[in-house]
Formats: sequence, structure tokens, C-alpha cells
Amino acid sequence: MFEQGECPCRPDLEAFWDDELDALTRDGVLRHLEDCPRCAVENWQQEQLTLLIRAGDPAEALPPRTVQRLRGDLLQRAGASLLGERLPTAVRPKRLWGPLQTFFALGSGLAAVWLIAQRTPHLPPEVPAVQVSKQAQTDPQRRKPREVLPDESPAVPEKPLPLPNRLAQMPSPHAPSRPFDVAAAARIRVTTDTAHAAPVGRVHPLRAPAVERLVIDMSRPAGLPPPRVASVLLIANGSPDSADGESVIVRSDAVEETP
Amino acid sequence: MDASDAELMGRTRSGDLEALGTLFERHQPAIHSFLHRFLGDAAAAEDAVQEVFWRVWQHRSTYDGRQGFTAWLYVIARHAALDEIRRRSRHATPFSGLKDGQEGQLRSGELAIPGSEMSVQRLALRDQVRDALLQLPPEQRTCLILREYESKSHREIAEILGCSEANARVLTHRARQAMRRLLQLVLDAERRESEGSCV
Repeated sequence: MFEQGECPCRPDLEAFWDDELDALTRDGVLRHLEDCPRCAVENWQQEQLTLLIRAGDPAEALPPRTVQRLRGDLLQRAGASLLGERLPTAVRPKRLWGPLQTFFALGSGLAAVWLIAQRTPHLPPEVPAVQVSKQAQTDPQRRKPREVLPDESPAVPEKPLPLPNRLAQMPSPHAPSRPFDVAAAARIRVTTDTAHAAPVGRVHPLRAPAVERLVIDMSRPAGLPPPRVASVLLIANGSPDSADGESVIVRSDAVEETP
Repeated sequence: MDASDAELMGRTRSGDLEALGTLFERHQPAIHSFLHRFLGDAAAAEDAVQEVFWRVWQHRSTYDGRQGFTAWLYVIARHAALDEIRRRSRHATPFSGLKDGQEGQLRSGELAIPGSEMSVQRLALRDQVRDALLQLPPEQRTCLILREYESKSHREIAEILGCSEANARVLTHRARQAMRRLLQLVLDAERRESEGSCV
């Protein structure tokens, strides 16, 4: 343990530094230090080292606010584990991420509500326009939208106007500045009242200009009630979005469902 | 009268969060200081202190009371510190936020620390001691910190390290020898200064 040639008192000196000697032995070491210059130097150096180490203590106490935060995080995490909740393994809390998440979630929600409000204009209730075929919901063999011709359906108005002309008269912010050619419509966007329903297929060119009805296939999971169409949007070829003048909105209560 | 650690740990075992909070408040200062000295990094020590008490919570059912709570806590702290060192060695996180050359400036007293109440000399000394501690092997470092800063007995150190008391004494002795070598320049400067002041 100790280097060769050291004073035989050295083991006691180590215990002396560690204050682990009884009073009698301690007095003996003190007397030895008065007589042994080698041990006296050794003791002085150790005292200096101890003073230096303590003066240069790298530790700093945590601020009280940090202590409270750490305590709160610990208890929250422990409480969550009691409830069996699964939390991330990282110990360091995401101090900024939580409020940011809430902020972005609220912002996204508000933006979505605003967009829906912008894209759903108020239209006069007497505009008939589009039929949605429920046959597609019940017929699993049917994969493509089927055109419903005027003479096949009992729900056809007596003297239907061509759809583009009627739509062009709607007081809609998205109404086209010129008669909308449904035959040119390439895409259709349907919103429903349930998240699980989604329209499939696309607009069929319906013998423009004497268009009466559109047929839209609706898909839905088995066992769920049929979705109700909230709005139908026709988007012309080359129109990137519904916000341009080529788009047409059909009000929701103008939508009819065929069995 | 304050509840003992054993009582609080018994309540913690049964899921009492307030008891855990009391243990945290009671032992956090010492554990944080130990981790700060051992890791040499304030941010890492802050993370590690929370990790220690999280492990206390996670392993509360394994504490049987045969070992003193403080010793058990230091065993956890030591393992958490070693895990942190292993993690840092993989990610090579710098210990100090100082840029290249600033460490030297700090030591020579040229770099001012805005808002710091410590003198530059004191900061420099602290960095020298910290760097010296970090050069010790982990077991020697544990012994020296527990002995010099926290005045633990060698019996307690042996319990924390899981070794014999004699082995703990040897480790402390070697740590002191190593620190004396590492801080020799500072010790010599101190000696010259004290000799000069005596003349």
C-alpha cells in the first residue's frame, strides 16, 4: 500500500488525516510529527492538498426553483407510472415542447374551422343538383361510379335545368364567373359528417350541357351508419384547388341519396 | 418530528408520492453535489439527480432496509453517474461551454466572467480541481469525493462501493497520491506564496 522507505508511522498518518484514530493514538501521531521532519512535511502537503481540493470544490447548489421543478417532474412522472401511463424514458423534461404542442394544436384546429367556414358558403335551399347513390355502399361488386341517367331515376325533377347553368346562378364566393362546364370537371371533393366515410371515384362527364345528376360512390366501413354528405365540390381540369373561379360548390341539402 | 428515511422509504414503497418528495428534498443537495463533482458538469448533474430519484422510485420494492438508505442512494447515484459517463463517451459531449482557447484564458485570468461573483482565480482553481478529479479512475474518484467533501467513513465508502473497508482505504490513498501529482503545480505555487509571505 505504501511506498518503500516511508516512515513506519505512515499508516497512522493516513488514519490521522481521516480522523479515524482514538485520542491516545492521535496524541502519539501529533508527538511524532514534532520529531519527524519527513512526516511533518508529508502532513503539511496533505493539509495543503485538502485545503486546495475543498477550495476548488466544483459543486454548486441547485437554485431553489430548479429543485422545485425537478421535484415536480419527478412526482408527476412517478404518479403517472402509478397509473400505468406510458411516458417517454428521457428524464429531462421537454420544458418548451408541451406549451408549443398545445399552441400548435389549437392553431391547427382554428385554421381548420376557418377553412371549412370559407369553403362552405350559404346557398339558397331550392337548388337541386347532385344525387349520391347509396347503391355503391351496399353493392360490394360495384367498384366504379355509375352514371344515373334521367330516365332511370324516379327522383328527377320534371324539367331540370342543366346543372352548370343552375350552379352558375348560386350566390357562392366560389361560383364561376362564367357557366361551369361539368363535363370538364376532373375532380370531385365531398365532405361528409363522419370521419370514417370517404368518397371514391370521380365525376363522370354527364352529357354536357344537359347534366342533371352526378353519381358519387361512397365508401364506409361495414356496420357503420351511412354517411351524410355535407357538401360537394366540383373542380375543373387544371384547377389546383377550390379557391379559384372554376370550382363549384353544391349545397348540402341539395344532395339526394338514392337507395 | 421528521420521519426517518426508513419510514419515508416504507411509505414510498407503498406508493406514497409525498414521501418520495420528502426524500428528494432531504437528499437532493448531497446527491447533486456528489454527481456534480463526479461528472464535472452542472447540466449532466441536474439530469442525473433526477434520474437517481426516478430509479429510487422504480426500484423501491427492492429496498429491504438492511442497507442504510443513504448508502443505497449513493450506490444508485454512482451507477447513474457511470451510466452518464458511458452515454457521454458515446455522444462526445463537451464538459465545458467554453470555446477553444477560453479555458486557457480563464486559467490565466484574462477571461472575465460576466455576472459571476467568483473571482477568476477561484474559477480557475475550481476548474483545475474538477479536471484533476475527472482524471481519476471512477472508483478512486468516488472514494476521494466521499472522503474529502462528504466526510464519509471508509466503512460507509466500502458499503457504497461494495468492497472491503481495507480496499476503500487503499483506493482513497491512491486517489490522494494521484491528486497530489495532478495538482503539483498549484501546490508548488501555494508553497512559494506562503514561503514568500513568511520572509
